[in-house]
Amino acid sequence: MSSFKVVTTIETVGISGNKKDQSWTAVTASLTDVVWSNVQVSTSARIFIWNPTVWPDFTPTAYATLMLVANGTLDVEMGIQVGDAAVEYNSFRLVKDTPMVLGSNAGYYDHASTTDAAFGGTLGTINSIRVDEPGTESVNLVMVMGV
Amino acid sequence: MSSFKVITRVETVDDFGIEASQSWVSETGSLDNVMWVDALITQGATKYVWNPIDWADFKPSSCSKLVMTADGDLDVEMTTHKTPHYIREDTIISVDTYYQGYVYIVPTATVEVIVGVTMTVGDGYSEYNSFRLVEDTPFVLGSNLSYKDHAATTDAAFGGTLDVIGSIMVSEPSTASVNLTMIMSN
Repeated sequence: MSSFKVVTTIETVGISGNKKDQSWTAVTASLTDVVWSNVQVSTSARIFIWNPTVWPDFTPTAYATLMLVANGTLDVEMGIQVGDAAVEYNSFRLVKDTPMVLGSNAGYYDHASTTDAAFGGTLGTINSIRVDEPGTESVNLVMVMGV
Repeated sequence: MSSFKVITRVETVDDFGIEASQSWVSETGSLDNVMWVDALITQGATKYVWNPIDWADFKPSSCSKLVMTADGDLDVEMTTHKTPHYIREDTIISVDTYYQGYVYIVPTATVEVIVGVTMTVGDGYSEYNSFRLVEDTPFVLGSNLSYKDHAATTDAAFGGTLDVIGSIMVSEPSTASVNLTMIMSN
């Protein structure tokens, strides 16, 4: 049995000097496995780091918890329901030492057939991740997947 | 001058019982301001929690750092390249122009449409990011950059154009009311 625990603490100082902080802890137990991956993304490279739909026998084939962190800037693209004609794509910029953590693989696909943007679509599964180094420097990426 | 610091620690145990852990710290100074916002999202509700394009004078008007965390599950929709488009009273428009916005008018024959209000819609290049926020698992962005206009290309999001996230909507998936905390700085 495997587990994934993430503790996040935010500390801020406001414009008038007022300080505030708070921490959150989430533990996901009863996982089948946890996989840590280290990937070097060279300058200007654009590569899939997880694409089980296209890569036969690649494991994990799905995740329950996900953490992405890099030691530089990386753009991240997440395919939602890859393999379906109505696939949709999230995109975010990952900033140095600022992990992106998802406790679910849910996302909406098939937006185009509705009038209500993403929420008018259908709840599907994030099932591919691609990264793009925006031309600055080679970046080391750590990906942790709880299955 | 304001600052924003995020400390993240991940601890895992794999199927062999092997423990692993790592921590990361990121701090940004020289920010104009930082805001903590609490919102109660009632059961089954879908609502904007940040929409400075449509909400005049809403602060912050943009954010370079974002934290979203909740005490229950919430679906999140972030619009990349949120822009208003106003259809004003007595203005004749081409219906086809607006097919990618929020307003769909699908005539089955030639019709005359009289729009008597000012409406706001996204433009044709907006894209919508979506994911599920899980209890006590903050979603942190150190940048508001994201790709718009995927549809014009064949290369998914990266074939689009880099732009900024301009609005956030949440939807409670009909389980229970949820308390949402957002921390935004710019």
